[in-house]
Amino acid sequence: MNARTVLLVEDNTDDEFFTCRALRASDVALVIHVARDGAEALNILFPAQGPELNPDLILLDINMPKLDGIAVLARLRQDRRTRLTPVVMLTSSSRTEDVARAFDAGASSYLIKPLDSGRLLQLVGDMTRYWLRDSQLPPRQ
Amino acid sequence: MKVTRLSPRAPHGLPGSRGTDEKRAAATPLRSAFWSYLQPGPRRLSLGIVVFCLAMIALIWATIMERAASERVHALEVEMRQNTNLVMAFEQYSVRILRNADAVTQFVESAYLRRSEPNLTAVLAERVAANDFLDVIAIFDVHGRLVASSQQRTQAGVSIGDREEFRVHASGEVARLFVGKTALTPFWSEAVVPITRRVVLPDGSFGGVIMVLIQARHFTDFVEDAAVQPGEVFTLVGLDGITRARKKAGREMFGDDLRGSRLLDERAHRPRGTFRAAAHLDGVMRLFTYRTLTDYPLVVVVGSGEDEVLAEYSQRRWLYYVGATVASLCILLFALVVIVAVFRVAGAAGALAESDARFRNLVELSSDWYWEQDAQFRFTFLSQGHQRIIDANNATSIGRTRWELGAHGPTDEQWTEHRSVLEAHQPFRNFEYLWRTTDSELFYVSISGDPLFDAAGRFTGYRGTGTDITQRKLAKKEILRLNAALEERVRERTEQLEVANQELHAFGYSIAHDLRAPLRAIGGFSEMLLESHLPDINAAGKGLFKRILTNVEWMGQLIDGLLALSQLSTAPVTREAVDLTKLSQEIIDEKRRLEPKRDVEVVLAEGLVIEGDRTMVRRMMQNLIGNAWTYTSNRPVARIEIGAVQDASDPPIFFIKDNGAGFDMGYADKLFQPFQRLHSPSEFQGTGVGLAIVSRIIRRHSGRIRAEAQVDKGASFYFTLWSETPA
Repeated sequence: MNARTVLLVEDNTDDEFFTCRALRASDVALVIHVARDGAEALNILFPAQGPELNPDLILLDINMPKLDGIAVLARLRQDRRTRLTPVVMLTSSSRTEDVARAFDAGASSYLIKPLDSGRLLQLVGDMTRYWLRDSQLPPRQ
Repeated sequence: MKVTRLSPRAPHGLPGSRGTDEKRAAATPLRSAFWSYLQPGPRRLSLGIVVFCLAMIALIWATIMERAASERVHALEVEMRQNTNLVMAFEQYSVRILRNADAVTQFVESAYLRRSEPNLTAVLAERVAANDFLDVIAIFDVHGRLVASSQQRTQAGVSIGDREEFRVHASGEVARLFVGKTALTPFWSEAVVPITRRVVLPDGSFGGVIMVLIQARHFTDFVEDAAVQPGEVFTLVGLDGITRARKKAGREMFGDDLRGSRLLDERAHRPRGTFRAAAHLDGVMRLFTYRTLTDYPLVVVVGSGEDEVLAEYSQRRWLYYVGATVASLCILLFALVVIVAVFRVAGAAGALAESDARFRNLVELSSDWYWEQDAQFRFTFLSQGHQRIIDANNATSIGRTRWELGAHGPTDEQWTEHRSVLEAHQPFRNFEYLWRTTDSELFYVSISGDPLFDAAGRFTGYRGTGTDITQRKLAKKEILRLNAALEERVRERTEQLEVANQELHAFGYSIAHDLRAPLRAIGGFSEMLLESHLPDINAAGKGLFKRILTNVEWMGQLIDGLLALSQLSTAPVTREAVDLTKLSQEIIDEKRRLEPKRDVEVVLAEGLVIEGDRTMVRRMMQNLIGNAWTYTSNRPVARIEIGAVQDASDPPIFFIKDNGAGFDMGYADKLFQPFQRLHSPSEFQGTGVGLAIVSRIIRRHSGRIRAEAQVDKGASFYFTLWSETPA
């Protein structure tokens, strides 16, 4: 089984540390790329030159300086290549508006920080397996 | 065109002259009253009408009376003329009879004296036969004894010696023919007038009497009965006052005594004449005409009844009176009608004058003005309101049109439209425009007008009113300006407020969010240390780490509470029926699941339904139940009761009671304020936000909440939603 590529977009280094630590416990082989903010994430995904990254899963923080998670997600959903890439939003906000905003922008799932490592691993497993099996998400309403 | 100028009516008299008037009035109050009564007005006019009508009536009656009197006189004159004719005929007839009788007696005398006639009786009879008015001729000797008679039957012994007609001759009193008093003949009872003549013997001595008897009716038969009027009386009366023959209404009479009557008085003065008097005998008013016979001591009298004479006149006079009365009444009625009409007209004129004065005052005193224009729309009149406000003395306005006077605004189109209305001779209302006078003063003017037409329907101009609406216009502009400014300020303030609100919200959100990140790190690392590096940490260290973690959790809850509180301010409130019993049960189940060791007795009423925002109601109940759950933690048997107050209140009042620690009611005002706690964290864990959240939710539902508690006796919360607004 090939390793799955995960892109973690997170500005807080402490949160990045805890997330990566949790992901290491996964039974799926993961190659983790980290972007410090939304702009850097888009730079990795859509570089001006050089090879572009095609992650199997994107973990996207909402609250970030410069470009926030919602904007990045909207950009991803516009591109043909990344339109169907599973994106899990990570945020400390449990506000219903923020959750709704995220799903409206095309998020695949939503996790509230501090992350429950068990839930995160289950989600990563589900997302990657689901993606492998069907290569695409069911059409969104 | 004539310029009409209305000016205030001059007062009656100047103040000075009024003073002298008053003096004069005081001097002669009666005269003054009289003159004031005769002031021009309906009273004087009525008086004149009454006087005139009374004069008319008097004239009519005077004419009628005069006419009646003259007719009466005329009727009497006519009658008198007729009577005079009649009396003359009467006289002639009587004289003829008497002369015949005289002649007969003379003849008989001579025949008697000659004594040549053998048969004297035959001679007498022949004479009687020859004179149809003679009844009897008889001769009496000096002793009054009958000598001969025309009537064979006459008894020889008849004597008249004791009778007047004999005695006057015997005594020599009467020399000539004597007309005796009328008497009735013995056998036939005929009224006869005895006429006697003295027989004079050749020696001049008395030789007896010759008597002729003439039926009295012969004297009065001179006129046909048919020609005699009912009231007419024909009387032959001797100068001695005794009637010899009298005929009245066809009846023959005689022997009445007229002595002392008016007739004899009159006759004593004039031998013939006329008079009017009540008849001596029957009292009837008569016109008498009399003549004294020339050669005989007799008077003939014709009397005619005044009633008969004046019958026709009386009838006519009556008609005159009726006519005059009717005419008088008509005149009086006319006068009455005219006077009533005069007073009515005077009243109407007074009312008209008052109304006129009122409207004049209105026009002159009003700040609005009244205007008139001729057919070319040039001003012919502008009232004082206009003079006061815009154009003193109307010097520049009269004779010019509105547009020549510097009318500006509102717009050329509206002016054109107004001009077309004027050309069409249509009325217009509240046309507003800007009037720039020659002094460059600006006036906003509102005018209304109606076209005028003469009797033939020709357009003669316009008439209407004008109002200076400058102040109103300016005030309106000012108001509009202020309103706009106010709106602008309100908008600015609202914007500022919204911005501030958003900033505050964002600030609260970001504070809560950003506080969480380091907290997460502290919690995460502490946990890692506790789990991964256990061998390196002793028991005391572990305890410290646990306390760090407890505090992290505690701070997380605080942040959650803050976030919830800030969200409550902005989230919209929906309204739906929520099953409070089911909701509470779910929350209690959750609590029990989290703290299975707690033994809490829950009494939950069935069928509780509350109207409100489902999410908020849930949060409210979570806090209330959580509160009760927390503060009953030191009770061996905790008891929580949830229900509704059993009364008819609408909306219903719900309660949640516990037997927990309760609190001092003295601090009740702090109960619902955020971060205010009545217990220390060592006693009970709590953020101090829960009841603040409850309070805010209830406030957002326009509801009320109230707490009752005693220290160590538990607390009760009563709440209701939508009580502030009518459902």
